[in-house]
Amino acid sequence: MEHYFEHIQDYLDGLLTPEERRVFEQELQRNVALREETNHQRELHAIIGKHQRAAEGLPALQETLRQVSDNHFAGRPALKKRRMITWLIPMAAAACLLVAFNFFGWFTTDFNQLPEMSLAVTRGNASDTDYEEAARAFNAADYDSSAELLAALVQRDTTVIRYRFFLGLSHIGQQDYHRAAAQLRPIADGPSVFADDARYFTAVALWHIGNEQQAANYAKQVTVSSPYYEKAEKLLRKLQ
Amino acid sequence: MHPDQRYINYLKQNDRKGITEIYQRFAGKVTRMICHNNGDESDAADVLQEALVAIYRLSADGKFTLTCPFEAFLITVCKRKWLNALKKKSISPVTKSLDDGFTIEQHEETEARQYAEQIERESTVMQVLETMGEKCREIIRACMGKQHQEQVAEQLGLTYAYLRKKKSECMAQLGKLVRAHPLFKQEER
Repeated sequence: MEHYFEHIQDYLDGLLTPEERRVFEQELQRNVALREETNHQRELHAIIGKHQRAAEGLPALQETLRQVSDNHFAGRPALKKRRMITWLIPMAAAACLLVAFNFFGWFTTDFNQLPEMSLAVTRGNASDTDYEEAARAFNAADYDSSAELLAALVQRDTTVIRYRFFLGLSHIGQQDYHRAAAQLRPIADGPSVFADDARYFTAVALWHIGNEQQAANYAKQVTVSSPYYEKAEKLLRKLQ
Repeated sequence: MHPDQRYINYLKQNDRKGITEIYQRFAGKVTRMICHNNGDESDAADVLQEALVAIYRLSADGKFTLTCPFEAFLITVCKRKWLNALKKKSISPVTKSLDDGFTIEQHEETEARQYAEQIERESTVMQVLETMGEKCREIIRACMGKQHQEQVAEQLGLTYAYLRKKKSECMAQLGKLVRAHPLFKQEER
């Protein structure tokens, strides 16, 4: 029974051999729990895939909606007057507090904040040890060491984009923004799974270098599915 | 297919002229509904924008076919979004006037409600995914992209076998979390 559950993803991804597929489908016919779980997983696949595809076109659509909405609602007599006076005093007080807090930097966004580097990599070779050492250094904010170790890993194997991505982030940690941009830009321009996050950090690196136009271009390309989407939007507002 | 499918296409194609038409035809009705229910024009603008994004997401795979008038669908989505917003603010809606000014046939209402429920279902799955650990989110997102999973494994620095195993575990965990969500639990009863 459990054995068949392990095969659900392979079945849905079309990775079973014709014989395995036939056996699985036979089991589906008679096993209600397996059938329900397979249908549930099929639905999850469809939803996540669809939302990922939607994310690509979403920033452009949201921009159009914002503009059309602003045009539509601007200048129209409000249907319900806001009770401005009641709100004005507490709002003004809150605004003063916000300005005061912001003066101390409590609400400023840390655009340079780096993610944690996952320790679990199983390639089953010597690179795993070096990678783990690099990850420990990176997570301890020892970016000089992580940059050195990751540079060696990249030299050994250029196909692992994770190494190149975290090397670029290590350069951001070192505040070496030229090298960070040089490392991250090809990833941001490519099709890899790191492309979206690399776009955000390329924008950050370019912003620090003073290349604001290009920084804005990269920030604009970060899609809503990225955990950095909101920060990219904030950076964009700052740049504009 | 209902002739109003064109409104869905405007959203899919980011057609500015078409989207302007949507606002001209339906924004007034959404605004009236919300202003009669403890909201104002800016709430209506937010709700309408959120509803249109939700409809765009629902139709993003190109398989969605509208079988009821767009107005019934849009108003239903906006109504549910506004009721949820009021619930969060702990304000009781004046439910009677939510339906004022709209003539939605019974069968159209049923179809519109089913679409709106599908939007809520999908949005729940995506919210649950966001609550998972970073590793699982990374693997699930990467595996659902356009790239072949062998390429994904290489880019992530994982063996293909490990990626498959992890994806399977993460998807099983996601499945459990989604089933445990009140919205899905309700359906199973």
